[in-house]
Amino acid sequence: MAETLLFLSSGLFLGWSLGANDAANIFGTAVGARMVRFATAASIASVFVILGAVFQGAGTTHGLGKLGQVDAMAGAFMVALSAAIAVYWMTKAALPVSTSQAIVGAICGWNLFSHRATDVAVLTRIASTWIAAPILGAIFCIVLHALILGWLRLFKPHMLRLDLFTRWALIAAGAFGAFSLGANNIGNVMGVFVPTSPFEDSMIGTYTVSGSQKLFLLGGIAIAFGIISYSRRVMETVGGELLAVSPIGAFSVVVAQGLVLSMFASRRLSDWFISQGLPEIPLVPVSSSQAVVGAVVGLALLKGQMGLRQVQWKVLGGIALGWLTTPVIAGLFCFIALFILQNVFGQRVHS
Amino acid sequence: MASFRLPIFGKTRAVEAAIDEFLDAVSEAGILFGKTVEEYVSHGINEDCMRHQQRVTEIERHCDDLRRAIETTLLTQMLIPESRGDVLSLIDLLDGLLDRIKRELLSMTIEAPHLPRSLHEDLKRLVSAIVSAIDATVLASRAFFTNQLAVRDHVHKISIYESEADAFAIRLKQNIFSSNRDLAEKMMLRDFINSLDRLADQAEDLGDQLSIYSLRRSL
Repeated sequence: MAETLLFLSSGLFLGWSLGANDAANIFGTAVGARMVRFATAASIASVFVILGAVFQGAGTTHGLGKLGQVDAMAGAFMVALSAAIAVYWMTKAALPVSTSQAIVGAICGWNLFSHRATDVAVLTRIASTWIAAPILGAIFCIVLHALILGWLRLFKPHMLRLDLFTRWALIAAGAFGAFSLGANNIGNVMGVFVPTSPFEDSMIGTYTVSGSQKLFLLGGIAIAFGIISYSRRVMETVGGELLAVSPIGAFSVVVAQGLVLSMFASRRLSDWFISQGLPEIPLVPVSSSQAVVGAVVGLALLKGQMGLRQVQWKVLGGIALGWLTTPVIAGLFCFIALFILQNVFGQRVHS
Repeated sequence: MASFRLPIFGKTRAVEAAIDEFLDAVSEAGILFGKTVEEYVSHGINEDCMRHQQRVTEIERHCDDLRRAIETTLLTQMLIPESRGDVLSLIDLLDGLLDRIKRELLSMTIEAPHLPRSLHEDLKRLVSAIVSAIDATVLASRAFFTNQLAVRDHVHKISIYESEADAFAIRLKQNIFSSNRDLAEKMMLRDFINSLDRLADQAEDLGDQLSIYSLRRSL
């Protein structure tokens, strides 16, 4: 059990850092603007991130599994640790980084080390979601915000009543955003451990709890712990980094982000696309931060020239660069670390 | 001093109602200001003048209580954190405008300047422009809470009425100083007109601030 926990610790650490950083995408503006108290935001985000991870986390995990089935616990440990270290190092170096892209790079590193072929078609589809996520974030945000502005012009609510609506809307959007984050990003945190999961299925009444769900629950708790223990500072400082956003704008951004993350996590939606003869939606973890950046740029586009002038375009350039650098750094690190783990520590990193 | 408390429950509606009541009061004070000065120009100090002036004083006192209640609730209940500072400043500026209306009427009824008949028509026009500027200020303030897009239109109207008031004030002063009156009388009339005209200036300053608040909210 202790050995299992030790191997899972890298995934739990990844979960903690995900919670600490990505909760700001969901509740950052609301907390920063003092529309929602941190305690309320953290409680709601924690509960919904766990629910999303446990009940809808299987899709993206399966999607990542197509890229590489890490079939040894020590190997899974190092894949998650490499992604975590790459994220930590790039964050320290002030480079834009995404956990989703780091884990993909690390899995490719494991594939390379264990002489497994990386399915280029799967990799290309995953990489295409990195570009699609911010673009979709922008589109969803533009449509949603335009609808809200139309509603405001039509009904002209009093500033104070609008403030009250906005608070509740931000809480509801935050709950949805947290659920989507859990559903989509649990694959990053626990996905690589699923093939070697130490947990077995069990029954609670008539409901079967799978071993994977137990793993996701553990990962969800790690994310929630990250939110409660460390996200406050990020929430209070990160707001307005790319563009100053109003509370109503923040609502549109959070819902748009939630829609993007749900889209790439929902098996039902993907099946429906296939049934309609449309291309299948790849169920893979996407970066919530990059979906948010796309949504914020969408908001700026809606404001026209004035909005576009306010966007920090350098941040966007950095993100595009991160699509390449993050997986490469994580992959290289993973390859070297697996070599050390196998040859110095004598651990079996693949079967 | 009368105290005014907003209920703890339904605080949003209560503050909305208090702000509406405050704006209604400023609007009423503006109308009463116009009536009082017109009455004074036509008939000198009479009962109606004194009644209107008394009513404006009461309105100003009630608005002080309303302002305190609005400020306290906005601050303690953490309402509209994004625009709270601007709303508090707006309420302060409106209170300042109301205070000036009260002071102008009080000075007029105490000093009771002699107004030559040749000035009556332009004085009435000046007062009408000032009342219109105050009215547009109230409309702009109301729009700030419900319809940001309309703020600009009302602020533009304030500016137009302020320019009109300036033009009438200049014509009145030219008329005064081209006459054969005593210098002391000329100066007293000039100060009276300048003092009235400053109300329109204050309304315009408030409109300028409102434009900034409105722009800030749209960002």
